[in-house]
Amino acid sequence: MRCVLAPLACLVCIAAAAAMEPAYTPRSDGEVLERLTTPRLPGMASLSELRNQWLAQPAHLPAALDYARAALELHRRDEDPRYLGYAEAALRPWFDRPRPPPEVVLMRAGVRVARMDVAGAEQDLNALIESAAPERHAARLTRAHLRLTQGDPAAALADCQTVAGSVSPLVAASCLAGARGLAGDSAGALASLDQALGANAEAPLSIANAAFIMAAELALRLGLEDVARAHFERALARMRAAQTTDPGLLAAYADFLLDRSEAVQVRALLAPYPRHDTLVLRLALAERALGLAGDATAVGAADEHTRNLVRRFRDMRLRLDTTHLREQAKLELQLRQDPKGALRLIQSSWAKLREPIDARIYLRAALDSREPEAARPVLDWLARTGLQDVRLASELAAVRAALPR
Amino acid sequence: MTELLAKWVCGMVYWLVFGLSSAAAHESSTSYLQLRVDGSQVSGRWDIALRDLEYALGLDTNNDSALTWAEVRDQHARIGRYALGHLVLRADLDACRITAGRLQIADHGSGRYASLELDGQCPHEPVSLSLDYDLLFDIDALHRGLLNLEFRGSHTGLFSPGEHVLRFQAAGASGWAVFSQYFRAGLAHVWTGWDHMLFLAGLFLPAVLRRHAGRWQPAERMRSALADTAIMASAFTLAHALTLSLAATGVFAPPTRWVESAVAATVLFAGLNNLVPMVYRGLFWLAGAFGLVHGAAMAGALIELGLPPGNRVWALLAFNLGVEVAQLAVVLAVIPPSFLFRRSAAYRWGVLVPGAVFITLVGAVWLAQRALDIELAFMGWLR
Repeated sequence: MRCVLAPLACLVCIAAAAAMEPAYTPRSDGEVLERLTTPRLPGMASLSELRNQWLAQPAHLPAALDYARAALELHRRDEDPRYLGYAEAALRPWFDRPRPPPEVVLMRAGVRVARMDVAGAEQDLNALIESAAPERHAARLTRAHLRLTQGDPAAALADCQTVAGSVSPLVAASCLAGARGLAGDSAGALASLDQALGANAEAPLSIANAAFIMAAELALRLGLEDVARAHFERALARMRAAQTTDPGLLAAYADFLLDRSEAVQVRALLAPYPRHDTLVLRLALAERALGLAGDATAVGAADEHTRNLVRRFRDMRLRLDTTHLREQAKLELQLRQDPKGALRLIQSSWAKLREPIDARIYLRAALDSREPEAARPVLDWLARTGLQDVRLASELAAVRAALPR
Repeated sequence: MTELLAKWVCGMVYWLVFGLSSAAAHESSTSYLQLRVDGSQVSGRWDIALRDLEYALGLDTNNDSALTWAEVRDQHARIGRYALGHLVLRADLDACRITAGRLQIADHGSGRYASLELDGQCPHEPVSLSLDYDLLFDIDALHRGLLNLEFRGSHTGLFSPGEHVLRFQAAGASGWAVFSQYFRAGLAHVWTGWDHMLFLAGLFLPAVLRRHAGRWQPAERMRSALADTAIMASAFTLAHALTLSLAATGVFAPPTRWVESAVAATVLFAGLNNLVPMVYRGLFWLAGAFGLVHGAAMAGALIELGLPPGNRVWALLAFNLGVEVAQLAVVLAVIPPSFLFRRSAAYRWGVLVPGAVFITLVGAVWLAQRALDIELAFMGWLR
């Protein structure tokens, strides 16, 4: 952690000197400065009600848990880190205890996962898994997915197999398919996941859509674009029917469309989400492609979105926040044409996140920087896992060709 | 209930699993604090997200989910009070007075911010500047404050719940200013540090009246009482100046818990020694040994304050002198009256014995607290 942060801390001195945005007085009294949403989840009290209950008795664990749970659920929906901060503030008194209750430990693990404190999260999850608490199953499942995002399919598979009998069939199938796919058997994984999806049509939205996204990702690794598109479309239809937002789905689908040069569709898909950095990044990429194709207004929009993202990433770096490294690498590589900068960022991120999307950014950044040697960790990882992904093929061939035999 | 729980567990698991790679989707809550300290004058600007202010204060008075300029402007005073209630700026030991000036709006890439102009005045030109920031930490543990400070040069800082006090030392303060501020810090440290005061009181009590051969024996002459005390005080002083200077300059770093426990043990001993005399000759050596312990403890305060670059020796000397003068003041306050009344039974049974019992008890409780790390609720005020 330290070694990642040290160079970042140096950047702090340079970047922080940047001037503050100018302040101004709005032109009219009625000017709307901020649209507020009333965070509410179906079947749950509104966040502010739960918050008031917590504020009325902050030392009462059930009230704190209800509030934190709602905040974490909202974080899942909106990916807004403020909700993580609310949950952590409510649970803080129990976090600081030597032996927090298991439900608090599970939430802390979740907060740590989201903040990419992998070591801290593993410590919490391991403690739960070794306990007899009912949370041990959720903890094992979480550890399985943590290991998947870290690119360790063997360890993930072991956890998925152990937990398979204790969770719903579709959750188990997704877990197993993720591990098998990463280990190279994408075809087998996709077949069994499709079967599970067919047999569990009534699964809750969040679980079904996670399975659809996983299936689409497996199909893309195999080059089955039509199959992937069908899965994305089904997930999207369900998301829209439920009038909710799934940023993970939108980002994955946008990446697929961008690969297919369908920038117009991406713009239409993402325009309603101006505050999701991951989505604004894809929107800017689409606008840039449209600009290159002759759409003059798209050029200005792309530039403005890029400037905003640069500013937001700068502030995150000043906060010593490392959760944005992958997205920032993508920005430097694809929007700002700075492959060397992208390479440094993805190298820092690679220690914690090793998914096919990271491998792709890494290989491209190494090639464009003319530092193919820097891509060794990716080649080693691919050899170790056995992952097969047609989207990596051309970059891989180029890197291998550039390396000395 | 079970159904709800099951539903939640599904959601939770989904959240845990898929929240991972996209935590960066939005910007976390951040405030931007810009300060300029010029002489004793303070000026600056503080930008706080309207969303955060709404969550903390409820600015949307007509509850229409749209925050207008009129709503924000009308609550200028409330916003100012709230913000300034969560920031303390200190010039050395003294708080500076800061007021909120004009309110404007600023854009920081992710939503609109209330931008407060700050104006202020410190009681004197700071040698060291400290900022204690705790805005929003109670409701959003991921909130951070980004600081840009002009104080004899440019500095930056990051406030977080784990690091909410930042200190800045800059070269360029005058020698006199360094001396007077560190001298004051030395005085304040003894006068507000109960453990040192109690130890000194316990140590000096036998100078006028000591238990010997089962009886209380008053000192014959004021001169000898003062001389005894002065020798002890000097030994104590020399010893603690030594450890204080070594620890404050980082030559050695004794573990805090041991040092604090040892200080408590000296208090316990000093109190007990008045009731059941164990040592009454050679107090000189004892005072020296105890001085080493207290010096190491006092260094903590100085380390916290920091030593100004370019003026380290000067600051160290001033702090030591401050500690010294404070101790002498304690001696001068305790010895002459106790000498005068040393033969009166009222003094003996009304002041000396209860005082010694009190010191002994407090020393014992501190020792238990610090060495065993146990918390005794009723002793909270003694920290």
